Amino acid sequence: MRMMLSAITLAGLVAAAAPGYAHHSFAAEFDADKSIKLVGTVTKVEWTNPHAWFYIDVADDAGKVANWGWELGSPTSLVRLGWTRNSLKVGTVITVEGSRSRDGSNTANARSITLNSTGQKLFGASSQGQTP
Amino acid sequence: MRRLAISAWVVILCEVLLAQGAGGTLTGVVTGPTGAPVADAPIQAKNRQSGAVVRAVTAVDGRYRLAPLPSGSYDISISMPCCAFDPFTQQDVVVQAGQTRQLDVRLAEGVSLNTAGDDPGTLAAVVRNRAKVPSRPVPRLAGKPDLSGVWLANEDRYPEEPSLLPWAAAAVKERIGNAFKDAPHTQCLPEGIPTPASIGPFMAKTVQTSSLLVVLFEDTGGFRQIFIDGRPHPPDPDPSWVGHSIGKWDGDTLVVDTIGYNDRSWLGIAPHTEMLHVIERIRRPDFGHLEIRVTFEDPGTLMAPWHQNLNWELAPAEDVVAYVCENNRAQRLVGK
Repeated sequence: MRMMLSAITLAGLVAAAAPGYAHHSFAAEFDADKSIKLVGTVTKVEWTNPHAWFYIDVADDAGKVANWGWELGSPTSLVRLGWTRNSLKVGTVITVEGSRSRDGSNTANARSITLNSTGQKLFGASSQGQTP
Repeated sequence: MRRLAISAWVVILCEVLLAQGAGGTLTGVVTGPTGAPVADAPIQAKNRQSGAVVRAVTAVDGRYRLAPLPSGSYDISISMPCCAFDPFTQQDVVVQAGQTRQLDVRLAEGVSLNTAGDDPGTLAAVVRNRAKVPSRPVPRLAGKPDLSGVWLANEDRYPEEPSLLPWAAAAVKERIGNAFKDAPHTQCLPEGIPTPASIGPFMAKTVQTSSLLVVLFEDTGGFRQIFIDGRPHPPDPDPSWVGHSIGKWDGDTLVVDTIGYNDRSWLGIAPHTEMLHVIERIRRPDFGHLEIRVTFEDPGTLMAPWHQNLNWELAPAEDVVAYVCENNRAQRLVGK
Protein backbone atom coordinates (compact mmCIF):
# COMPACT_ATOMS: atom_id res chain seq x y z
CA MET A 1 0.00 0.00 0.00
CA ARG A 2 2.79 2.36 0.86
CA MET A 3 4.44 1.50 -2.47
CA MET A 4 1.23 2.32 -4.28
CA LEU A 5 0.80 5.60 -2.49
CA SER A 6 4.29 6.76 -3.31
CA ALA A 7 3.79 5.76 -6.95
CA ILE A 8 0.64 7.86 -7.10
CA THR A 9 2.34 10.81 -5.43
CA LEU A 10 5.27 10.61 -7.81
CA ALA A 11 3.03 10.37 -10.84
CA GLY A 12 1.10 13.40 -9.64
CA LEU A 13 4.33 15.31 -9.42
CA VAL A 14 5.33 14.36 -12.96
CA ALA A 15 2.12 15.62 -14.47
CA ALA A 16 1.97 18.67 -12.27
CA ALA A 17 5.60 19.68 -12.49
CA ALA A 18 6.07 18.91 -16.17
CA PRO A 19 4.96 22.28 -17.44
CA GLY A 20 5.88 24.02 -14.25
CA TYR A 21 9.58 24.58 -14.11
CA ALA A 22 9.86 27.18 -16.86
CA HIS A 23 13.02 27.88 -18.68
CA HIS A 24 15.36 27.92 -15.82
CA SER A 25 15.74 25.89 -12.76
CA PHE A 26 14.85 28.68 -10.36
CA ALA A 27 14.97 26.61 -7.21
CA ALA A 28 18.43 25.27 -8.02
CA GLU A 29 19.83 28.74 -8.60
CA PHE A 30 17.97 30.98 -6.17
CA ASP A 31 16.74 30.48 -2.62
CA ALA A 32 13.12 31.56 -2.16
CA ASP A 33 13.72 31.67 1.62
CA LYS A 34 16.50 34.24 1.25
CA SER A 35 14.53 37.36 0.46
CA ILE A 36 16.48 40.51 -0.17
CA LYS A 37 15.56 44.16 -0.69
CA LEU A 38 18.13 46.72 -1.82
CA VAL A 39 18.19 50.34 -2.90
CA GLY A 40 20.78 51.24 -5.51
CA THR A 41 21.72 53.03 -8.69
CA VAL A 42 21.54 51.19 -12.02
CA THR A 43 25.03 50.75 -13.53
CA LYS A 44 24.37 48.37 -16.45
CA VAL A 45 21.56 46.56 -18.26
CA GLU A 46 22.16 43.40 -20.33
CA TRP A 47 19.33 42.65 -22.75
CA THR A 48 20.18 38.98 -23.36
CA ASN A 49 18.22 35.74 -23.59
CA PRO A 50 17.28 33.64 -21.75
CA HIS A 51 17.34 36.34 -19.08
CA ALA A 52 17.89 40.04 -19.01
CA TRP A 53 20.21 41.23 -16.22
CA PHE A 54 20.78 44.55 -14.56
CA TYR A 55 23.32 45.76 -12.05
CA ILE A 56 23.08 48.29 -9.24
CA ASP A 57 25.60 49.98 -6.98
CA VAL A 58 24.52 49.67 -3.36
CA ALA A 59 26.14 51.65 -0.56
CA ASP A 60 26.21 50.27 2.97
CA ASP A 61 25.95 52.35 6.17
CA ALA A 62 29.70 53.00 6.10
CA GLY A 63 29.49 54.27 2.54
CA LYS A 64 31.18 51.22 1.04
CA VAL A 65 29.74 50.46 -2.41
CA ALA A 66 29.06 46.96 -3.75
CA ASN A 67 27.74 46.03 -7.18
CA TRP A 68 24.81 43.59 -7.31
CA GLY A 69 23.57 41.62 -10.34
CA TRP A 70 19.84 40.92 -10.75
CA GLU A 71 18.15 38.45 -13.05
CA LEU A 72 14.96 39.39 -14.91
CA GLY A 73 12.68 37.46 -17.27
CA SER A 74 13.60 37.00 -20.90
CA PRO A 75 13.71 40.04 -23.20
CA THR A 76 11.23 38.15 -25.40
CA SER A 77 8.67 38.25 -22.59
CA LEU A 78 9.61 41.73 -21.39
CA VAL A 79 9.10 43.16 -24.88
CA ARG A 80 5.65 41.50 -25.05
CA LEU A 81 4.82 43.24 -21.79
CA GLY A 82 5.56 46.54 -23.48
CA TRP A 83 9.03 47.29 -22.17
CA THR A 84 12.20 48.01 -24.04
CA ARG A 85 15.89 47.74 -23.28
CA ASN A 86 15.70 51.43 -22.32
CA SER A 87 12.95 51.05 -19.74
CA LEU A 88 15.53 50.76 -17.00
CA LYS A 89 18.16 53.46 -17.48
CA VAL A 90 21.68 53.65 -16.12
CA GLY A 91 21.81 56.16 -13.27
CA THR A 92 18.23 55.52 -12.10
CA VAL A 93 17.74 54.92 -8.39
CA ILE A 94 15.56 51.90 -7.75
CA THR A 95 14.37 49.62 -4.97
CA VAL A 96 14.58 45.94 -5.84
CA GLU A 97 13.11 42.95 -4.04
CA GLY A 98 13.79 39.32 -4.81
CA SER A 99 15.60 36.15 -3.83
CA ARG A 100 19.35 35.71 -3.32
CA SER A 101 21.38 33.23 -5.30
CA ARG A 102 22.41 30.01 -3.61
CA ASP A 103 26.14 30.51 -4.24
CA GLY A 104 26.29 33.47 -1.86
CA SER A 105 27.52 35.97 -4.46
CA ASN A 106 26.07 39.46 -4.88
CA THR A 107 23.42 38.09 -7.18
CA ALA A 108 19.65 37.78 -6.95
CA ASN A 109 16.47 37.16 -8.90
CA ALA A 110 14.35 40.30 -9.19
CA ARG A 111 10.72 39.98 -8.24
CA SER A 112 9.73 43.60 -7.94
CA ILE A 113 11.39 46.83 -9.07
CA THR A 114 10.25 50.29 -7.97
CA LEU A 115 11.51 53.61 -9.36
CA ASN A 116 12.32 55.68 -6.28
CA SER A 117 11.60 59.00 -8.03
CA THR A 118 7.99 58.16 -8.93
CA GLY A 119 7.09 55.04 -6.96
CA GLN A 120 6.21 53.30 -10.24
CA LYS A 121 6.67 49.55 -10.35
CA LEU A 122 8.41 48.05 -13.37
CA PHE A 123 7.98 44.73 -15.19
CA GLY A 124 4.67 43.15 -14.22
CA ALA A 125 4.80 39.84 -12.43
CA SER A 126 1.91 37.70 -11.26
CA SER A 127 1.10 39.25 -7.95
CA GLN A 128 3.01 42.51 -7.95
CA GLY A 129 3.96 45.14 -10.40
CA GLN A 130 2.12 46.38 -13.39
CA THR A 131 2.56 46.60 -17.08
CA PRO A 132 3.00 50.04 -18.61
CA MET B 1 -37.60 42.84 -7.91
CA ARG B 2 -40.19 40.24 -7.07
CA ARG B 3 -39.75 38.59 -10.46
CA LEU B 4 -36.01 38.48 -9.82
CA ALA B 5 -36.57 36.85 -6.47
CA ILE B 6 -38.95 34.29 -7.96
CA SER B 7 -36.53 33.41 -10.77
CA ALA B 8 -33.74 33.05 -8.24
CA TRP B 9 -35.92 30.59 -6.31
CA VAL B 10 -36.71 28.68 -9.46
CA VAL B 11 -33.01 28.42 -10.24
CA ILE B 12 -32.23 27.25 -6.71
CA LEU B 13 -35.10 24.75 -6.82
CA CYS B 14 -33.89 23.40 -10.14
CA GLU B 15 -30.41 23.07 -8.76
CA VAL B 16 -31.67 21.20 -5.72
CA LEU B 17 -33.71 18.84 -7.91
CA LEU B 18 -30.79 18.36 -10.26
CA ALA B 19 -28.45 17.70 -7.35
CA GLN B 20 -30.81 15.16 -5.87
CA GLY B 21 -31.41 13.44 -9.16
CA ALA B 22 -27.94 13.32 -10.62
CA GLY B 23 -25.42 13.68 -7.85
CA GLY B 24 -23.73 16.01 -5.45
CA THR B 25 -22.01 19.32 -5.81
CA LEU B 26 -18.56 20.50 -4.85
CA THR B 27 -18.15 24.23 -4.68
CA GLY B 28 -15.76 26.78 -3.19
CA VAL B 29 -13.36 29.63 -3.78
CA VAL B 30 -9.80 29.38 -5.08
CA THR B 31 -7.38 31.98 -3.74
CA GLY B 32 -3.66 32.63 -4.07
CA PRO B 33 -1.04 32.87 -1.32
CA THR B 34 -2.19 36.39 -0.42
CA GLY B 35 -5.86 35.44 -0.23
CA ALA B 36 -6.73 37.18 -3.50
CA PRO B 37 -9.17 35.22 -5.69
CA VAL B 38 -7.65 33.30 -8.59
CA ALA B 39 -9.70 33.49 -11.78
CA ASP B 40 -9.60 31.04 -14.67
CA ALA B 41 -8.15 28.23 -12.54
CA PRO B 42 -8.87 24.84 -14.14
CA ILE B 43 -10.22 22.56 -11.40
CA GLN B 44 -10.89 18.87 -11.89
CA ALA B 45 -12.64 16.18 -9.83
CA LYS B 46 -11.65 12.62 -10.72
CA ASN B 47 -13.75 9.78 -9.35
CA ARG B 48 -11.41 7.36 -7.58
CA GLN B 49 -13.48 4.31 -8.53
CA SER B 50 -14.60 4.99 -12.10
CA GLY B 51 -11.92 7.45 -13.21
CA ALA B 52 -14.70 9.71 -14.56
CA VAL B 53 -13.76 13.36 -14.62
CA VAL B 54 -15.78 16.55 -14.05
CA ARG B 55 -14.14 19.89 -14.78
CA ALA B 56 -14.80 23.57 -14.17
CA VAL B 57 -12.98 26.88 -14.34
CA THR B 58 -13.07 29.50 -11.59
CA ALA B 59 -14.90 32.79 -12.18
CA VAL B 60 -13.42 36.25 -11.64
CA ASP B 61 -14.21 35.99 -7.91
CA GLY B 62 -12.40 32.65 -7.69
CA ARG B 63 -15.62 30.65 -7.31
CA TYR B 64 -16.11 27.26 -8.90
CA ARG B 65 -18.86 24.65 -8.97
CA LEU B 66 -18.32 21.01 -9.88
CA ALA B 67 -21.61 19.22 -10.55
CA PRO B 68 -23.25 16.83 -10.91
CA LEU B 69 -20.91 14.43 -9.10
CA PRO B 70 -22.21 10.89 -8.53
CA SER B 71 -21.76 9.76 -4.91
CA GLY B 72 -18.20 8.67 -4.31
CA SER B 73 -14.66 9.64 -3.49
CA TYR B 74 -12.81 12.16 -5.67
CA ASP B 75 -9.29 13.42 -6.25
CA ILE B 76 -9.40 17.18 -6.71
CA SER B 77 -6.64 18.89 -8.66
CA ILE B 78 -5.74 22.30 -10.02
CA SER B 79 -2.81 22.70 -12.39
CA MET B 80 -2.21 26.40 -12.98
CA PRO B 81 -0.16 27.61 -15.92
CA CYS B 82 3.50 27.79 -15.01
CA CYS B 83 4.74 29.08 -12.48
CA ALA B 84 3.15 31.62 -10.16
CA PHE B 85 1.26 28.98 -8.16
CA ASP B 86 2.10 25.46 -7.13
CA PRO B 87 -0.20 22.75 -8.45
CA PHE B 88 -2.86 21.67 -5.94
CA THR B 89 -4.14 18.17 -5.26
CA GLN B 90 -6.42 16.83 -2.54
CA GLN B 91 -7.20 13.14 -2.54
CA ASP B 92 -10.22 11.27 -1.28
CA VAL B 93 -12.82 14.04 -1.07
CA VAL B 94 -16.16 12.31 -0.45
CA VAL B 95 -19.25 13.73 -2.15
CA GLN B 96 -22.81 12.45 -1.55
CA ALA B 97 -25.69 12.72 -4.03
CA GLY B 98 -28.05 15.51 -3.15
CA GLN B 99 -25.52 17.31 -0.99
CA THR B 100 -23.35 20.34 -1.58
CA ARG B 101 -19.87 20.22 -0.14
CA GLN B 102 -17.66 23.27 0.27
CA LEU B 103 -13.96 23.04 -0.54
CA ASP B 104 -12.00 26.29 -0.55
CA VAL B 105 -8.48 26.12 -1.94
CA ARG B 106 -5.56 28.37 -1.15
CA LEU B 107 -2.84 27.89 -3.77
CA ALA B 108 0.76 28.08 -2.62
CA GLU B 109 3.35 30.24 -4.34
CA GLY B 110 4.94 28.45 -7.28
CA VAL B 111 8.49 27.12 -7.53
CA SER B 112 9.59 29.53 -10.20
CA LEU B 113 8.30 32.45 -8.18
CA ASN B 114 7.58 35.75 -9.72
CA THR B 115 10.68 36.67 -11.64
CA ALA B 116 9.85 40.15 -12.83
CA GLY B 117 8.52 40.13 -16.37
CA ASP B 118 8.48 36.35 -16.53
CA ASP B 119 5.02 35.33 -15.40
CA PRO B 120 3.11 33.39 -18.07
CA GLY B 121 -0.30 34.30 -16.65
CA THR B 122 0.40 38.01 -16.92
CA LEU B 123 1.89 37.61 -20.37
CA ALA B 124 -1.03 35.56 -21.66
CA ALA B 125 -3.47 38.19 -20.39
CA VAL B 126 -1.51 40.98 -22.10
CA VAL B 127 -1.38 39.06 -25.39
CA ARG B 128 -5.12 38.22 -25.25
CA ASN B 129 -6.08 41.81 -24.50
CA ARG B 130 -3.89 43.34 -27.18
CA ALA B 131 -6.01 42.18 -30.11
CA LYS B 132 -9.45 40.67 -30.45
CA VAL B 133 -9.59 37.55 -32.61
CA PRO B 134 -11.93 38.23 -35.54
CA SER B 135 -14.80 35.85 -36.18
CA ARG B 136 -14.11 34.36 -39.59
CA PRO B 137 -14.32 31.00 -41.29
CA VAL B 138 -11.27 28.78 -41.08
CA PRO B 139 -9.09 29.61 -44.11
CA ARG B 140 -8.41 26.76 -46.55
CA LEU B 141 -5.41 25.92 -48.67
CA ALA B 142 -5.36 23.30 -51.42
CA GLY B 143 -8.65 21.89 -50.14
CA LYS B 144 -7.46 21.55 -46.53
CA PRO B 145 -7.62 23.81 -43.48
CA ASP B 146 -4.79 26.34 -43.40
CA LEU B 147 -3.16 25.97 -39.99
CA SER B 148 -0.97 29.06 -40.49
CA GLY B 149 -0.90 31.70 -37.79
CA VAL B 150 0.86 33.07 -34.73
CA TRP B 151 -0.29 31.23 -31.65
CA LEU B 152 -0.28 31.55 -27.91
CA ALA B 153 0.73 27.98 -27.20
CA ASN B 154 -0.91 27.11 -23.91
CA GLU B 155 0.01 24.14 -21.76
CA ASP B 156 -2.40 21.27 -21.11
CA ARG B 157 -4.80 22.56 -18.48
CA TYR B 158 -5.56 19.06 -17.22
CA PRO B 159 -2.26 17.19 -17.49
CA GLU B 160 -2.44 13.41 -17.60
CA GLU B 161 -0.09 11.38 -15.43
CA PRO B 162 2.43 9.29 -17.38
CA SER B 163 2.93 5.63 -16.40
CA LEU B 164 6.68 5.43 -16.07
CA LEU B 165 8.92 2.38 -15.97
CA PRO B 166 10.85 2.15 -12.68
CA TRP B 167 14.11 3.56 -14.09
CA ALA B 168 12.27 6.59 -15.46
CA ALA B 169 10.35 7.12 -12.21
CA ALA B 170 13.68 7.04 -10.36
CA ALA B 171 15.12 9.62 -12.76
CA VAL B 172 12.11 11.88 -12.18
CA LYS B 173 12.55 11.58 -8.42
CA GLU B 174 16.18 12.58 -8.75
CA ARG B 175 15.32 15.55 -10.97
CA ILE B 176 12.72 16.79 -8.49
CA GLY B 177 15.26 16.27 -5.70
CA ASN B 178 17.86 18.47 -7.34
CA ALA B 179 15.39 21.16 -8.46
CA PHE B 180 15.85 20.34 -12.15
CA LYS B 181 19.36 21.73 -12.18
CA ASP B 182 20.28 19.60 -15.22
CA ALA B 183 17.26 20.55 -17.32
CA PRO B 184 18.41 21.00 -20.94
CA HIS B 185 17.44 24.63 -20.91
CA THR B 186 19.84 25.47 -18.11
CA GLN B 187 22.49 24.74 -20.73
CA CYS B 188 20.65 26.69 -23.44
CA LEU B 189 19.47 23.49 -25.11
CA PRO B 190 15.95 23.04 -26.53
CA GLU B 191 13.28 21.95 -24.13
CA GLY B 192 9.86 20.55 -24.84
CA ILE B 193 8.45 17.88 -27.11
CA PRO B 194 7.06 17.95 -29.73
CA THR B 195 7.73 21.69 -30.05
CA PRO B 196 10.40 23.25 -27.83
CA ALA B 197 8.82 25.91 -25.66
CA SER B 198 11.22 27.81 -23.51
CA ILE B 199 9.42 31.07 -23.03
CA GLY B 200 6.12 31.22 -21.25
CA PRO B 201 3.64 31.78 -22.57
CA PHE B 202 5.27 30.17 -25.50
CA MET B 203 4.55 31.70 -28.90
CA ALA B 204 4.69 29.64 -32.08
CA LYS B 205 4.22 30.56 -35.72
CA THR B 206 2.92 28.01 -38.19
CA VAL B 207 3.46 28.50 -41.91
CA GLN B 208 1.70 26.04 -44.22
CA THR B 209 2.08 25.25 -47.89
CA SER B 210 0.44 22.39 -49.77
CA SER B 211 3.45 20.17 -49.05
CA LEU B 212 4.97 21.50 -45.83
CA LEU B 213 4.06 22.82 -42.39
CA VAL B 214 6.80 24.81 -40.67
CA VAL B 215 6.59 25.57 -36.95
CA LEU B 216 8.75 28.50 -35.86
CA PHE B 217 9.36 28.72 -32.13
CA GLU B 218 11.27 30.88 -29.67
CA ASP B 219 13.74 28.37 -28.37
CA THR B 220 17.10 27.06 -29.47
CA GLY B 221 16.79 25.44 -32.88
CA GLY B 222 13.97 27.72 -33.83
CA PHE B 223 12.03 25.58 -36.30
CA ARG B 224 10.37 22.24 -37.03
CA GLN B 225 9.54 20.97 -40.51
CA ILE B 226 6.54 18.70 -40.99
CA PHE B 227 6.64 17.18 -44.47
CA ILE B 228 3.17 16.69 -45.94
CA ASP B 229 4.34 15.74 -49.43
CA GLY B 230 3.88 12.01 -48.94
CA ARG B 231 7.50 11.14 -48.21
CA PRO B 232 8.15 8.44 -45.60
CA HIS B 233 10.50 8.68 -42.61
CA PRO B 234 14.11 7.91 -43.50
CA PRO B 235 14.92 4.31 -42.55
CA ASP B 236 17.42 5.29 -39.88
CA PRO B 237 17.11 9.02 -39.08
CA ASP B 238 19.93 10.71 -37.21
CA PRO B 239 18.67 11.33 -33.67
CA SER B 240 17.86 15.00 -33.15
CA TRP B 241 16.15 17.35 -30.67
CA VAL B 242 12.98 17.76 -32.75
CA GLY B 243 13.01 14.44 -34.63
CA HIS B 244 11.75 13.78 -38.16
CA SER B 245 8.09 14.68 -38.78
CA ILE B 246 5.74 13.66 -41.57
CA GLY B 247 2.08 14.64 -41.81
CA LYS B 248 -0.99 13.14 -43.48
CA TRP B 249 -4.50 14.56 -43.65
CA ASP B 250 -7.30 12.60 -42.02
CA GLY B 251 -10.27 14.66 -43.21
CA ASP B 252 -9.61 18.13 -41.80
CA THR B 253 -7.17 16.85 -39.15
CA LEU B 254 -3.44 16.84 -39.85
CA VAL B 255 -1.89 13.73 -38.30
CA VAL B 256 1.80 14.32 -37.65
CA ASP B 257 4.08 11.38 -36.97
CA THR B 258 7.52 12.01 -35.47
CA ILE B 259 10.42 9.65 -34.78
CA GLY B 260 14.18 10.11 -34.73
CA TYR B 261 14.49 11.85 -31.37
CA ASN B 262 17.72 11.86 -29.41
CA ASP B 263 17.51 10.74 -25.77
CA ARG B 264 18.87 14.00 -24.35
CA SER B 265 15.68 16.03 -24.32
CA TRP B 266 13.16 15.82 -21.48
CA LEU B 267 9.61 14.56 -21.79
CA GLY B 268 8.16 17.06 -19.34
CA ILE B 269 10.43 16.22 -16.43
CA ALA B 270 10.71 12.54 -17.39
CA PRO B 271 13.48 11.03 -19.48
CA HIS B 272 12.85 9.16 -22.72
CA THR B 273 14.75 6.93 -25.12
CA GLU B 274 15.47 7.13 -28.84
CA MET B 275 12.43 4.86 -29.31
CA LEU B 276 10.16 7.83 -28.61
CA HIS B 277 7.32 8.07 -31.13
CA VAL B 278 5.02 11.11 -31.10
CA ILE B 279 1.69 11.47 -32.87
CA GLU B 280 0.02 14.89 -33.06
CA ARG B 281 -3.55 15.25 -34.30
CA ILE B 282 -3.89 18.94 -35.22
CA ARG B 283 -7.18 20.60 -36.12
CA ARG B 284 -8.41 24.16 -36.40
CA PRO B 285 -11.97 23.98 -35.07
CA ASP B 286 -12.49 27.71 -35.61
CA PHE B 287 -10.51 30.70 -36.86
CA GLY B 288 -9.04 31.45 -33.43
CA HIS B 289 -7.89 28.02 -32.19
CA LEU B 290 -5.67 25.06 -32.89
CA GLU B 291 -6.46 21.86 -31.00
CA ILE B 292 -3.55 19.46 -30.73
CA ARG B 293 -3.95 15.99 -29.27
CA VAL B 294 -0.48 14.59 -28.62
CA THR B 295 0.26 10.91 -27.96
CA PHE B 296 3.68 9.87 -26.68
CA GLU B 297 4.80 6.26 -27.06
CA ASP B 298 8.13 5.00 -25.77
CA PRO B 299 8.40 1.35 -24.73
CA GLY B 300 11.76 2.22 -23.15
CA THR B 301 10.19 4.71 -20.75
CA LEU B 302 6.39 4.56 -20.68
CA MET B 303 4.23 1.62 -19.61
CA ALA B 304 1.32 3.03 -21.64
CA PRO B 305 0.91 5.86 -24.16
CA TRP B 306 0.83 9.30 -22.57
CA HIS B 307 -1.41 12.10 -23.85
CA GLN B 308 -1.55 15.87 -23.89
CA ASN B 309 -4.42 18.06 -25.04
CA LEU B 310 -3.14 21.44 -26.16
CA ASN B 311 -5.28 24.41 -27.06
CA TRP B 312 -3.41 27.13 -28.95
CA GLU B 313 -5.02 30.56 -29.27
CA LEU B 314 -4.55 32.80 -32.31
CA ALA B 315 -2.60 35.93 -31.36
CA PRO B 316 -3.25 38.33 -34.25
CA ALA B 317 -1.10 41.18 -32.94
CA GLU B 318 1.96 39.08 -32.08
CA ASP B 319 4.86 37.61 -33.97
CA VAL B 320 7.70 35.32 -33.04
CA VAL B 321 11.03 37.03 -32.49
CA ALA B 322 14.57 35.77 -32.87
CA TYR B 323 15.69 33.92 -29.79
CA VAL B 324 19.28 32.96 -29.16
CA CYS B 325 19.98 31.55 -25.73
CA GLU B 326 23.35 33.14 -25.21
CA ASN B 327 23.84 33.74 -21.60
CA ASN B 328 22.26 31.53 -18.99
CA ARG B 329 24.65 32.67 -16.31
CA ALA B 330 22.29 31.74 -13.50
CA GLN B 331 23.42 28.16 -13.98
CA ARG B 332 26.66 29.10 -12.25
CA LEU B 333 24.72 30.09 -9.16
CA VAL B 334 23.69 26.55 -8.25
CA GLY B 335 24.61 26.00 -4.64
CA LYS B 336 24.71 22.92 -2.49
